Amino acid sequence: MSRFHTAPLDPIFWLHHCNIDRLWEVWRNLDRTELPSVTPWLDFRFAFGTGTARREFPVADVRNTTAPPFVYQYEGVQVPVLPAGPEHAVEPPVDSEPPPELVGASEQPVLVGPDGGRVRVAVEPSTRPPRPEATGGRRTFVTVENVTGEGLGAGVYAVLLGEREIGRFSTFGLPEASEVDSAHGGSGLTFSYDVTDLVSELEASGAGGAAELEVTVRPTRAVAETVGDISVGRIGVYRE
Amino acid sequence: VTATARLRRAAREPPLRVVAWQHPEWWLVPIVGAAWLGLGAAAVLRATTGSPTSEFATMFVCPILPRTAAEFEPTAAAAGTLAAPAMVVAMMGPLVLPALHHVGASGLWARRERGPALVLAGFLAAWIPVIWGIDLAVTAAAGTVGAVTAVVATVAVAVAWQLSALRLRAVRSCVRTVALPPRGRRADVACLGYGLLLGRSCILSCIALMAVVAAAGHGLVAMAAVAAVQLHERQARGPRPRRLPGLLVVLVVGALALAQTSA
Repeated sequence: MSRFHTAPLDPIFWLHHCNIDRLWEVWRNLDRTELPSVTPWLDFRFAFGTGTARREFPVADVRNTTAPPFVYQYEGVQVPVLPAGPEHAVEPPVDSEPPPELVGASEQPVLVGPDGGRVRVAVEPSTRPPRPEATGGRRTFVTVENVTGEGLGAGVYAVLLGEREIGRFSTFGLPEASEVDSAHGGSGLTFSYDVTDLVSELEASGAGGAAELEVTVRPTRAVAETVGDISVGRIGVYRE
Repeated sequence: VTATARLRRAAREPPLRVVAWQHPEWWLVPIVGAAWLGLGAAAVLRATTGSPTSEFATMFVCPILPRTAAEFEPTAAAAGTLAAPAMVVAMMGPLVLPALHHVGASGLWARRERGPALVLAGFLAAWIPVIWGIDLAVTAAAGTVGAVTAVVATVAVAVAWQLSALRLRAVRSCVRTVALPPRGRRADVACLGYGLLLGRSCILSCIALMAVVAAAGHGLVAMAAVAAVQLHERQARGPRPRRLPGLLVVLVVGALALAQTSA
């Protein structure tokens, strides 16, 4: 299941993707959802099958499961009731405001072996024009950029800011995204995590605050060295 | 402050400033436009004065290839050499815009223009000598084996290259992103290196089309057609790039070049 080209051999793959398909329909039936209308999204084509059975579909043709070429309907598409999450006192930027800004990044790639990899990122003061009405504060993100590897490594890695876990990422598809022949051109995978609350805590606590952040990427379980290392191209810190 | 009020306040920003915020690569667009204007002016000048045929048709395909060594025109060759950077900027500039945007948007604010400019410098440093090399090779071949044979050979090699797996691989590597250090000399060197890497991928994916453009004497319409196909191919989304538009342009431009050359 963890390898891109063999995952369909596992029955759970089909259950998993059927549920994703159903969740898409649940989301599509929400009142306030609006599908993108930009051409790159609508025209993006996916290939199914091989040889003479190979067919390609653009996204525009497969948005609706009740219309051809699919024509099927889910019985249960009711929206699940979720517990209320934490409310951030932040306001997302609008298009006419300065975009998120990189305020710190690792100087070199980070090799992540069985014991993980760690790097300190110096965070600089913002030099960007201020957002005009940022009354609610700005969000801060940590990015794990251009993750590449020939193998799957540990399968799942945890990302920590200091000693606190800020998120995880899976290496599913990592070897394929690392190949120059792939649609990614060998760029690998990139992940981002909202660390607004944690950085606010660090800034409030003083003692250096968030001027330097220590980011660790480590396997979530013990792995043998033979499963292969992965490399993180850069750890970045962005602020809205 | 309500979201509406924020939008009103933000909307008062000068539009060009907002464009510069959102698109750190914006400055390349007028440069590309100026390059096309320059190439267009040169084509009109060539079509109306002193060109080998002095016809408007030379804007489409210009038969500047010498049929024999005696027909070699040093002036035309020198003009072509000087025009090569403008041609690279005009034709390849749009292709590298997404990469420049990525570098500018993922860099420190103080380096939003510097990073993309260094990437572009590396990109051009890779391409311009190759264009000179292609022109030299096609012109030398025309002088040695004759213009008709040179055009036919160029088109044949271009068709084979367009269909090759190596080229497919190069097209995919054109979208590659790399992690760049944030600051200092190390960031400058990495940006230049990334530009060279992009240039190498772009050369491998577009060299056949550029060779056909050279065989067509850098006619303006031939350049525009090839540039459009290259841009379309880069923007096409899907599991594999389509080969047909590129092949058609190679064959049509090649046929026009052959007709002009053998006339």
